[in-house]
Amino acid sequence: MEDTSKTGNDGIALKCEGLTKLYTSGLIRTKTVVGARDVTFDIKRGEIVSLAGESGSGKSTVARMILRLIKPTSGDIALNGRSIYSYNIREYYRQVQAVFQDPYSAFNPFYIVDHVLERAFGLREDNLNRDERSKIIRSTLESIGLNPSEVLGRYPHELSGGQMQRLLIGRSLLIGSQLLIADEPTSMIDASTRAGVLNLLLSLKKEKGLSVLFITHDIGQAQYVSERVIVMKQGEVVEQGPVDEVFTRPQHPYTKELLAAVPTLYERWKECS
Amino acid sequence: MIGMWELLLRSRKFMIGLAVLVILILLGTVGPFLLGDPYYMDLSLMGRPPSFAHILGTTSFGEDVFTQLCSAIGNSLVVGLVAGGLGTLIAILVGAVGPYRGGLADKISSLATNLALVLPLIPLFIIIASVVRGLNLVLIGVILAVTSWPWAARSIRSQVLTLKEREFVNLARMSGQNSVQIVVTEVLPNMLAYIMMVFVILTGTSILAESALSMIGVSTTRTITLGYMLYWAQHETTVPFWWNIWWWFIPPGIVLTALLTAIFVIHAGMDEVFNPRLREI
Amino acid sequence: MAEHILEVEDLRGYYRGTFGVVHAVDGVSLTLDRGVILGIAGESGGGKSTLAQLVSGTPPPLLHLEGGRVLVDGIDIYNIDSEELRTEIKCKRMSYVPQSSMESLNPVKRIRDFIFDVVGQRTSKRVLSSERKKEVIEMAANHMKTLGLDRPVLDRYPHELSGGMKQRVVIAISTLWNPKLLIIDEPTSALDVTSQKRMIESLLNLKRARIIESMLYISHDLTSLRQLCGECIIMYAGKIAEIGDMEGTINDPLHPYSRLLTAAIASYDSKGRRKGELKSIAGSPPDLRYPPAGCRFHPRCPYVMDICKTKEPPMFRTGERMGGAFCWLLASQSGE
Repeated sequence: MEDTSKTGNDGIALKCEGLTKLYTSGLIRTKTVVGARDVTFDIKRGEIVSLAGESGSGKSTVARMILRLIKPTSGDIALNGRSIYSYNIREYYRQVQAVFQDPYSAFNPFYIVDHVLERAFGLREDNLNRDERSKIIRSTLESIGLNPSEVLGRYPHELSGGQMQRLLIGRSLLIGSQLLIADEPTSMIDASTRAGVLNLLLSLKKEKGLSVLFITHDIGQAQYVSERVIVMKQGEVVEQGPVDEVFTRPQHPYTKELLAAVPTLYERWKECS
Repeated sequence: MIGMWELLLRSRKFMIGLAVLVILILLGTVGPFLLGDPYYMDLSLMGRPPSFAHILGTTSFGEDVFTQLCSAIGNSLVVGLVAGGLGTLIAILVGAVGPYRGGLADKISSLATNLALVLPLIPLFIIIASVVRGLNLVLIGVILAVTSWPWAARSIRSQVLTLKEREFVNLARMSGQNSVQIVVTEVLPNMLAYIMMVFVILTGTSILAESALSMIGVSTTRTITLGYMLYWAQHETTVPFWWNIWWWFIPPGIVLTALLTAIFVIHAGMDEVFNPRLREI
Repeated sequence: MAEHILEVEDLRGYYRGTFGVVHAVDGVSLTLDRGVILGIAGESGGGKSTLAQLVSGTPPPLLHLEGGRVLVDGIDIYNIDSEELRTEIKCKRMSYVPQSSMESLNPVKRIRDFIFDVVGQRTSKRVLSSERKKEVIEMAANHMKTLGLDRPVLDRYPHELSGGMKQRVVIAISTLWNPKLLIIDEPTSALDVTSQKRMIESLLNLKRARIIESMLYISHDLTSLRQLCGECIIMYAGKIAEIGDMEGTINDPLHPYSRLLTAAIASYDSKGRRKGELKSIAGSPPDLRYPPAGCRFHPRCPYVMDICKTKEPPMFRTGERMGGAFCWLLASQSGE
């Protein structure tokens, strides 16, 4: 176990402070595009936090910085109280994993899906043999409601989007990560299977104490799945707080406008009736 | 992936091209063993038209044209395969390293590609032929490879750049893999079909390039290739008109045409299967 | 004038290719009354877009009409020659705006010039006279105004416009000849919520301004469908599951599939009322190369009976509600 003073006993899994990403292009007349500016928030252990916003709001940029796929221009990200850059890469990815928006892009079409799960064992410290690995894979898949015989040994295009997203969540369980960055995991899968992915995240939070950063443009899903929400617009955080407050009594004009534009199943907009 | 190979076997273009290529390969590999020395000159039989004893006639030096043709096919294929194989390898290395290492490596590989792209082949060979003694097939293949890879490197680079953006590459990185592992296990397998196409095209163009160089006499003048046959047929001076000895230059011309057509029809068949925009599902 | 703007009778459309035969639309019948906005909902692979392509008379290469009729304003569009379809039906009586059609704007032309191209193409005139051009621009500007676009948009290039604006420009061009029926496929799926709302309002304005009369609106998103449509059809695996008025279908779904689908949607609630746990539908849609016998939903249906596995259900109506559902469960209630 790590030193508690280091991991911090404040219960915070991930903390972003003043996170900024600027993209500059051109040599002489440089043009700067803001990916994210001064983004500050934290995620507690066993908490699902939604990062909501429209396209171009910078929510994926934040995700990619947390995943160490791009480097921030300035600002700090700390995992368990330590800068994420102080971890070696394998140590870091053992704790932080991701599910991406497009499941068809997340699986290499060249391999059967087992490839992605097998790879995951590369991060684990125990050297398991083939049988042990296969046993763990099967039990993990069963625990997240997938029938191993229906998914293993198949190519990605033979599976549904929902099955693939569950497989990726399963992958992070195999690794044993504590923080999952879910970047629009449900936006490309059908409504009838979407609920399954959301419920899976909720049950993992409850049973395993998994922390999740749930990135979405869908306000309804953010409201269903998370306790706290961060609303972003053009790279900046405009409002954050408990879901029940932000989504029922929005303070910032942008949040108000955004929420007013969300269609709901049970009411019709005044303009449309 | 499996489905693709099946489709390939069902492609008429691919199968016809392959059949012609296989026949030519058999002629080029088995022929020389059965037919004896292609350089043997029977001075009593100079410039004879086709007959039962010499089905394609003899050259004006008394050599059997068919025997020469068979070893020419074999040797031309050797040049093509060496150049195609090596050229493809260089194209992959140069094309894939840029996007992966980024920064200076990318700049250098792009610069090398652009430089090699404008390297003029024929002047280069004239210089090499005048300097290097004993040009052999493998050496010619190597030189052709060194000059033929740039366009392939460029298109491989652009393919790697798009594949690199796919999430499975990020996922592999997040499984603790380094760049080399990612290129080899995640990116390149997806390009196998394309790489095969590159190999086929480079082989075909190299055979053509070698023939062209032989014809103007700057390639090997000692080993029989298709271009070598054309060179000597063209420089024949013992008959009043070159067309009087048509059986000497028409067969290598037809074989060269058939070989290249087969290779490009194979490429067209592969393109139809592997190129999603042309695929007739 | 025919009674209905659109009548579809037992329409079948299959994709045929090396992959086999996909029964994408298999026996769909519907009528669309004048002045009605009909929504078609369902998940991907349900056959919504294929239906739209067939109804608009523009099936893509591998899609073949296998049977049935499509009557637009009383005219059987598969029984007339293609020239008549092009000049008399398309754009005048019916316009079709396919999915991601905003990519069809020419990137190197100003919107204004692109409109001239389209008009020239349609009227088979290469060059338009200046009076005609003026006329066309006035018409386009008027339509664009209804859709909430300012006149200066005409002088922009596509890359200067947002996705929502491009989409509305395409709709404005598609409705230049005031078609009676607009068929529109997923116009909001690539848009952000705020532009989605603007899009839906614009489509309503198009009808209010009597530029169009009726609309067939295809979307996988029931919540946006709910805002716009008066009637709706839920499709599953190439067949209609349920048909009815919007309110009824959402609040009191008859078909188990519609019931489970509405229960699976995480809809936003501004009052913050927590609804119960969302439930996903077990299993996945069938491979339409080998559609299941009987009711196509039976392998996933929690209320499956023996008859569902062998016999295809007809439509059953229930009492006061308009439309009905193709489900054996309703056989006893409907008294048929």
